[in-house]
Amino acid sequence: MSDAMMASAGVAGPQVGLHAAGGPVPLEGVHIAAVMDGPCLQVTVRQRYRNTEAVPIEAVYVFPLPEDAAVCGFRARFGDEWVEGRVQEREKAYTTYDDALLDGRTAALLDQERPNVFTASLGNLPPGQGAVVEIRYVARLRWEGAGYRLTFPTTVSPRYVPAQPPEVGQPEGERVNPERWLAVPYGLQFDLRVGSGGLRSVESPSHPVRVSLTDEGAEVALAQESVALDRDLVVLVQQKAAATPTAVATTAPDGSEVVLLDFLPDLPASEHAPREVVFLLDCSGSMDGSSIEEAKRALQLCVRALRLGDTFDIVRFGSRHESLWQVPKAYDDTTLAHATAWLAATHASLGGTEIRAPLEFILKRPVPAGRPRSVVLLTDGQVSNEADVIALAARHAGTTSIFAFGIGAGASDHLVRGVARAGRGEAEMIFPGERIEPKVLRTFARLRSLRFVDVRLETRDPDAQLAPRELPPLFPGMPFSLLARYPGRAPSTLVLAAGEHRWDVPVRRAAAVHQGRAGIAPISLCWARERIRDLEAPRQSGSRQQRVPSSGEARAELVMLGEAYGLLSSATSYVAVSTSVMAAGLDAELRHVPVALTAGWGGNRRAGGHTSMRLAAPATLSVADSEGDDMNLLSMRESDGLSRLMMDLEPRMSASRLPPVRRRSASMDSRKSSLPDVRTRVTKLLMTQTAGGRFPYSDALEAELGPVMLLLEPWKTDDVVVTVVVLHLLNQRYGAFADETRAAREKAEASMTADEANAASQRARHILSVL
Amino acid sequence: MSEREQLFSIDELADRAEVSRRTVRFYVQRGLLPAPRGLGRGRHYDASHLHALMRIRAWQEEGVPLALIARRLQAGTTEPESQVRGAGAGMHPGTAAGVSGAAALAREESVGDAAVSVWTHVQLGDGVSLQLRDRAVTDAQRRALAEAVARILDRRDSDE
Repeated sequence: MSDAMMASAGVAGPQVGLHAAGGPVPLEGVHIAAVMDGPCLQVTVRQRYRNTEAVPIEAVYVFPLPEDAAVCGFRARFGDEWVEGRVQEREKAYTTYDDALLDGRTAALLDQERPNVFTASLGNLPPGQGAVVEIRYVARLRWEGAGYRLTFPTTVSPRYVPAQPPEVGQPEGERVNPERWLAVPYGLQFDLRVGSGGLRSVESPSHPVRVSLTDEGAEVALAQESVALDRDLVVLVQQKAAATPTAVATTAPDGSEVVLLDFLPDLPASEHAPREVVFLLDCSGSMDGSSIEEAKRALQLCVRALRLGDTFDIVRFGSRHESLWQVPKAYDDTTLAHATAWLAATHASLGGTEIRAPLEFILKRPVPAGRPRSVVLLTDGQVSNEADVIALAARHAGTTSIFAFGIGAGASDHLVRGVARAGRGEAEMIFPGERIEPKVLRTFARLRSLRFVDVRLETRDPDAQLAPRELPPLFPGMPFSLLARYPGRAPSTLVLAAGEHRWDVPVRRAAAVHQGRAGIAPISLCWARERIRDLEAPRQSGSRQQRVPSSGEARAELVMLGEAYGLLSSATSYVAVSTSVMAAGLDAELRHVPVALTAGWGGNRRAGGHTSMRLAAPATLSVADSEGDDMNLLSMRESDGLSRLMMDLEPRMSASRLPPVRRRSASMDSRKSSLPDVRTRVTKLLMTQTAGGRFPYSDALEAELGPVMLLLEPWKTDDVVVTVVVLHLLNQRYGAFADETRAAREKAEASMTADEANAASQRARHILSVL
Repeated sequence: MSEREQLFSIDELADRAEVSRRTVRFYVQRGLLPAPRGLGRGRHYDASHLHALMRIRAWQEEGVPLALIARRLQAGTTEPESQVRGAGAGMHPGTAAGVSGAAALAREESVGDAAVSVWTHVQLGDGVSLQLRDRAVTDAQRRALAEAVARILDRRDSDE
């Protein structure tokens, strides 16, 4: 009656078997220690296991890592001995592990299920014994806006498993859908060390953190000793951007060199050619709760970032899909109002996450002549057929670029970033409560700008290997990077060309200290990881293999790379076997480590409580006003397996100290009574802006002005005056939100002539003076 | 003809059934395949394991879900059928990506206290459908069936 049964019964819909806590759990805790060192992030994840039962056990734990992580180290402590793991071809590694178990030894195995989902198996753990599994990875730093965004996922969110072709062995969907409990008894500890170069600030939208500044930089830890593993851990490190291009080379023992090139193209940004934008909104059951609200808010901002001359459409999907219009329509006040109303009435009530069908529907529509088309996808990415969807995006990349927003406390970065990468666009993640406006602005800046898809490295060395082979598009004003491996010495200057632009970048050598444990520098590992990604890229859509490729040259190269660089991949796994043999006799019993449900998933706000301590819920996780959105019982029943199961669960939950399963309207009412926060007020005001850019008189404005609105009465119908008043209000009162309101302010300023604006300011000067 | 008591290691068993070792272990853990006898590396499987393994694999290839496979193994070969039209929540066994034209595969599952029967409803063309109990067809089989039926029906028409 577990997920396994649900998954194998072929039921379409989110597969979530939620259980009330019970039974011994062999995982005691997880510790993530990260260091921001040079151009890479180096992370060690330490999992502590203990067998509290009277029989030997095999613990199996399914957990996430960032999708671009290069897993380069694995070791395990069995009793008192540390054993270094080694990389082997996946099935060989399994044989090594299984043979060890048959011999009566304790052994550990690490498999990749997806670029962002892994399985750790720890077998023959004797009664009473503990063990530690340590996983190391490196990842490139991801620049976002004014600093780096570091993300540490902690739990695998339930995935929708669409119907699959018949498969032999354990169903794919099961391997990425571990057993879930309402509360799990293990917690997370975290620390991060950041170098001092140009450091401005460190903050987290996901957890309360303590930051202590030192001479070397900063030390970041969680405000609480230990927290639940039920949401991504996101840390934003603001730093001064490296303005000039930098190229850093590291040398490998065999004499080869890898160069990492990083820079910010200083090209003029946008052009205002009209575009067609189709928004694709995930309305599946898993989005229920704060995710769909965040997505709707983001979408409302997105449609207001369109310009007159653009055409657009909105498609919402779940188990089926529906589009707002038959064909995309021109953007104007009428269509904007229509779209706004349609969005406001949208709920996460469409069931499963069949993302492929609506995406295909959009991509196969005829491309509008002379009008570049983009898709903006808003989803939590929780599907099991990521490879299919990514392949589809890649096939149509020539005609449609795809931008994506990953929404929620545990969105799948593999799907979200993968689909954007394949669609030659970009992705941004939105953690609940994060400011959406700057992300929307950046996405639209990219969407509109003349990007370069023909980026090339002009090098006289024909053996230089680029990773990725096909360079991503270069967006003016957005960071760009690439990795290149030279069999011998790298050139002293790299020449990058895009369109008619050229950049000459001198190459310097990395400090010797940036070497990995096995003598392989992090930059080299990153290069190999990109190569692996190229090799694993699904070639065609409809492929039944999630672990592609399964044979042939590509797989052989994957194995070679994995073994040479010590990296995990779809074809290589890590295995560590203890030297001592425990008392033979009893078979180890299988124990799946249960995981906590992602906070906010499917509307479950109290998910993942840690039974022995309280998570100080940060304000950032609260759901803002839902604008009178009633979840009705009927739509919940139709939606997803979760709600059905939760209703089944209720009679079984005996202990009253368990967090209450989500009730229907009661919890919504209590939220409505809370005062909307400042962000919401600003957003509400911005949403009154017309397609043309002017601000009409509105309730939102009245709420802002208070008694001052009486002064504005005589000019209520003069939208030039009202717009001038709103602009003044935004500048004076909401200067702190300058970034977020910039697009709206520019649009408003562009909607009137200087004369009109001056005349209006004169008329309204007595109002402006009191704002 | 007497059956030789042949014994296999896990690798030999896996090779003969053309599955991976991982799959054999999975079936044992799931209770579909009985545990091997013996200890350590000397553990062995016998002919009955091999037979069961090949049946499980064949059923999986037909798209039979694990829960149903488990019941079948428990119950033996034949079981009473109870046919109740269920909700059929849009399940599509067979090639999800390859469903084309009017040929839709729909599944109805009967759930009751008695053994579970799965009726698969296969469209073979306009106004022609086939119902199968506890089996599924591959895309190729469906096409072949559709062609054969069309031929027979056409011949019938032209004879008259």
